[in-house]
Amino acid sequence: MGRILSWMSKPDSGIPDSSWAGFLDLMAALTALVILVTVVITILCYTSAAGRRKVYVPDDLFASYTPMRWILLAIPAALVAGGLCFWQYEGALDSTEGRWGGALQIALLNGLVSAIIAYLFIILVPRFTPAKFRYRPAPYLHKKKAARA
Amino acid sequence: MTTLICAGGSGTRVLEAVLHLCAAGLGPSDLRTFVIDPDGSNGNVDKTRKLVNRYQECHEAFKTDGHPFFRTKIDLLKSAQGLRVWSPVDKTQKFKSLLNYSDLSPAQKDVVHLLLTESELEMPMNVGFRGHPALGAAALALLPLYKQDPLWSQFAQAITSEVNEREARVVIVGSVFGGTGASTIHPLVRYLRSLPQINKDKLKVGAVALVPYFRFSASEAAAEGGTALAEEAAKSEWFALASRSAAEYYEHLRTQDDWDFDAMYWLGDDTPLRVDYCIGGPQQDNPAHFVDLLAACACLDFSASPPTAKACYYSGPEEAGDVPDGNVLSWDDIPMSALDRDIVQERLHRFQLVGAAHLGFYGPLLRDPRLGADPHCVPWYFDRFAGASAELSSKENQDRVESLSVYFRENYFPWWDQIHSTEHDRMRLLNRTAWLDGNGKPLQIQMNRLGNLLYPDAVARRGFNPVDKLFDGVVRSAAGVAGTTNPSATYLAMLSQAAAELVEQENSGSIKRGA
Repeated sequence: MGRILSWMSKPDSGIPDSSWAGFLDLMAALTALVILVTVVITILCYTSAAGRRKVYVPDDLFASYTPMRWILLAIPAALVAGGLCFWQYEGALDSTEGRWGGALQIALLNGLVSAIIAYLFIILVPRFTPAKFRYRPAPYLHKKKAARA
Repeated sequence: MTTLICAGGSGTRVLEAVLHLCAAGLGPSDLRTFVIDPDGSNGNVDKTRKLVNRYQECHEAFKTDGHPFFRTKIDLLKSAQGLRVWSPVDKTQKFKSLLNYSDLSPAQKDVVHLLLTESELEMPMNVGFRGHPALGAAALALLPLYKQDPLWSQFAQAITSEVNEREARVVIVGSVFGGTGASTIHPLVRYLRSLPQINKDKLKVGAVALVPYFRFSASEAAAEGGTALAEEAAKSEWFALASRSAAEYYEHLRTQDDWDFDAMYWLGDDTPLRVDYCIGGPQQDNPAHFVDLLAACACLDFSASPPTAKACYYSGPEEAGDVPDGNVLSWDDIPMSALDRDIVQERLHRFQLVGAAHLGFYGPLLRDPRLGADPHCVPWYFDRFAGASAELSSKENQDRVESLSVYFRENYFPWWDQIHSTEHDRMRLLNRTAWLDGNGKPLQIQMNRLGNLLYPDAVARRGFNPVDKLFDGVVRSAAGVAGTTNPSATYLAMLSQAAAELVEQENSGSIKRGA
């Protein structure tokens, strides 16, 4: 499983390969779990927020589409993943060399991948977005037609 | 085809009601109509003439199979000037000249003096018969002499050719307590019976006879206005007597087997509404009354399926214990036999919802410049109208949508408001607070009453959720509504379909109204 993080370079040549592989396995599992949980929570929160959003006056149609903000859950997810990485680093590798860099990479990976996967689900699965807002998550996809209007 | 002949001011107001019901999709596919009124300049005629023009604009703009509204085609007998108003008298003449009085023999003059007073003979005909049916009856008895008149010749030709193919239905409506209506109904039905030479039984004639439902005080008005009261002016004190005489006359016709009507509907209200007195002319613009609505329903009921019993039908609102000295009118009180009560209520409810939603939400939305910049924010608009060859935002379609707005704003809702403005809490059809502003003045649509458009105004039924539900419905209908003649008609079809769903949900009680 650690192969998915094979692009990460070992920061200290003194770290045994087996320890590094074990650490990558741990981080990969952590990443998968964090991304899964983040995506599920994001979609649940998004669906709930979009479903609760009502159209009472015309202004409601043109107001900011705030349910998309739930994608920002990727930020705390990134912090959690980065923090766990930072916390586990020394215990797993007996070294603090490259701890900040590793934690940062894991954080970025978790944050970006969580956000992208959640966003793709939102724009590709129609049932997550109420029909009345169906063009709001990805307005750029409809620019061409909108420009003709 | 159904022909509606409206006699006098009351008849003209019934035409107004019929047009609103036709707009709501309750009318026949074709309706031929004209007005008989010697006072063609009166305010009610002028208002109805404008309404006919506006209805026709809406009919042209929105006729489609996609929704029932404005589907009735109005035939004005090839009139380029809109609603035709025929007068049996010349405005400039006095009544005696209509009778050719100066050329009558002394014996004939004696008969005239036996039947008519000197003031009646000298009465100018500029504002009608002023509540004197004897004058009107004499004038209308001369109807066969007008065969060459363009209106009557076209009408006769239309009826004659129609009975050769199918049943021709004619409804005459007017008051029997005033001047024109009272004097028109019977002479006209006799004339109608003389028109077809063959297939006479295919001509079905109904009459809607209105008995008093409003009153005024001419003497009080004269005192307040400081003007002298003309002796020959109509007086509401005579209404009851005039109605009784009319009823006795028609009863006489029935007993003498001289009954030319396939049906006759008698409608009135024993708690008459007080209106401002006016002798005639542009100032005569009485407000709409629920009896107009009942009469319109009677017209459409006859049009849908004329009864075969050749009977009289009577209607008046049910007496209610909680309104002292007054009658109330609820949905169950509207008399109908051929029309389906549930369909009538559903159609009016739906049209009311469409009108409120259009004025309170969709009309302003379609004029919003943000819609042009971000059409994807409104999916039904984006799906059906953005980038299409005939855009809803084009000048032509904007004009059509505007004509709908004007109809609802200036005609439809004010008419219902007048109907519901009678004293006490008597009208129990629609929720009037849905279109009143904070000061109790029309017209400001209260969108939180969109789910409470029917009587009564209930706190539990208020809320904005129906606005959201309706929007959901319009989005759904965008996929299902077939293309129509123009984008405006498609828009109305979508709104109609969504409104129908919402009305059904409301009727089944499955809608939450809070928020």
